[in-house]
Amino acid sequence: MRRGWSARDWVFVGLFGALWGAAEMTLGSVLHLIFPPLADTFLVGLIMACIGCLIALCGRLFVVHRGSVLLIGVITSILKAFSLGGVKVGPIIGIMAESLLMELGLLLLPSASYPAFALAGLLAVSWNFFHRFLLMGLFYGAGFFEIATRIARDGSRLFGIPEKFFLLLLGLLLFIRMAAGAATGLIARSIGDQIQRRLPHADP
Amino acid sequence: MQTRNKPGWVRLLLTVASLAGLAVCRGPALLGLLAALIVLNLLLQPAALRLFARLHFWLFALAPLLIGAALFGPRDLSLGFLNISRQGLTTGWSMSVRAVCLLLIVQIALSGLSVARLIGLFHSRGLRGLGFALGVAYNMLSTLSETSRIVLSTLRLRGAIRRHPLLALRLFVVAVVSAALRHGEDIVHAATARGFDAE
Repeated sequence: MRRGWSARDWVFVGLFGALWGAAEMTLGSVLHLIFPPLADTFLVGLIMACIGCLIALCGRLFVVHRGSVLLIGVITSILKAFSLGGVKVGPIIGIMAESLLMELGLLLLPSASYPAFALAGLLAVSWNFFHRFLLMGLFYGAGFFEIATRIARDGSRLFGIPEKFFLLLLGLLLFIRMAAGAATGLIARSIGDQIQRRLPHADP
Repeated sequence: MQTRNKPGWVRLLLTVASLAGLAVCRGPALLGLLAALIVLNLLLQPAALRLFARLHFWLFALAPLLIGAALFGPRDLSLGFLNISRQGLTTGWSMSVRAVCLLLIVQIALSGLSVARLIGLFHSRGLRGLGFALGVAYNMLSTLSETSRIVLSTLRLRGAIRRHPLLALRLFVVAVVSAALRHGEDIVHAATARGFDAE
């Protein structure tokens, strides 16, 4: 049991977990329906990761304890696991990894500062880049990496594109995620401030 | 969802055994494991097999088979007008079976569990706070959906979404979170009045 946590802290962990869970269950499902499966990683995953970071990092301003973001992630994962449409292993792993990385970011720098929030967002949303590779590796085994490497090599030879181009493209995709994550972290901090001004009693 | 009630340790044992089987099995043995997992899912939670009725599932399961056969290795097998790779077909097939097995193992691990049972489990393991938070989250879902709907309608009726989409998005988040926190304060008061102690 976590010592020093009041009933208010647990209620707020539950609330922010529910907010993230509701976003995953409603907006996440709609986006997965609208966009084709192959766009999942590049668009839907990025949008959902940013929304998740925004909510969880806002929550950190109201539950000022280490581990609160991770617990918000745990609650969200459980809600997602029991949501309609069966078990979705990918989003559950994604939510847990993102909350863990946000917690790490908040651990490395003073936790209520803008740079800490930016770092937490950057780390968490960057996960989205590695998520599909790791998930495919987990599900399909080592054969996935073998096939992916072979296709990239054959493709570059077929279209006359240097292999370096693929690395550049991957680097660009990672950079977009890092920038979006850092921006999300900063926005979360500023929105959290705005909400705290609205709710003087909720101020911890 | 209809679920056969098996003790938690049976599910845990089955999950661990299935994962071990997945790590060990190669080639045709994988097909045997897949058949065993389908039977287990049928016995534990027949509704879990609705998974097979989804298009998304088939896309996920057949993608490595098709990509492997079309793009991996020399095209040495002729199927009518299609030339495919025998090596790619074998690799893709084992990847597909492995992925489906893993999905079925996750279904077994979670079969018979519910949010209420999980909350009870947290309480019995001394994680009362986490169980309480999960209960709050689960019961707040419908309230939050309703709040979001009302805030969105208000912003739309005032024309904010059309004129200032980004500002409207920010206002949406601020309004929904503020409303949720106000509701949370009521829950805190109610819990405190009933002598709730998370420790």
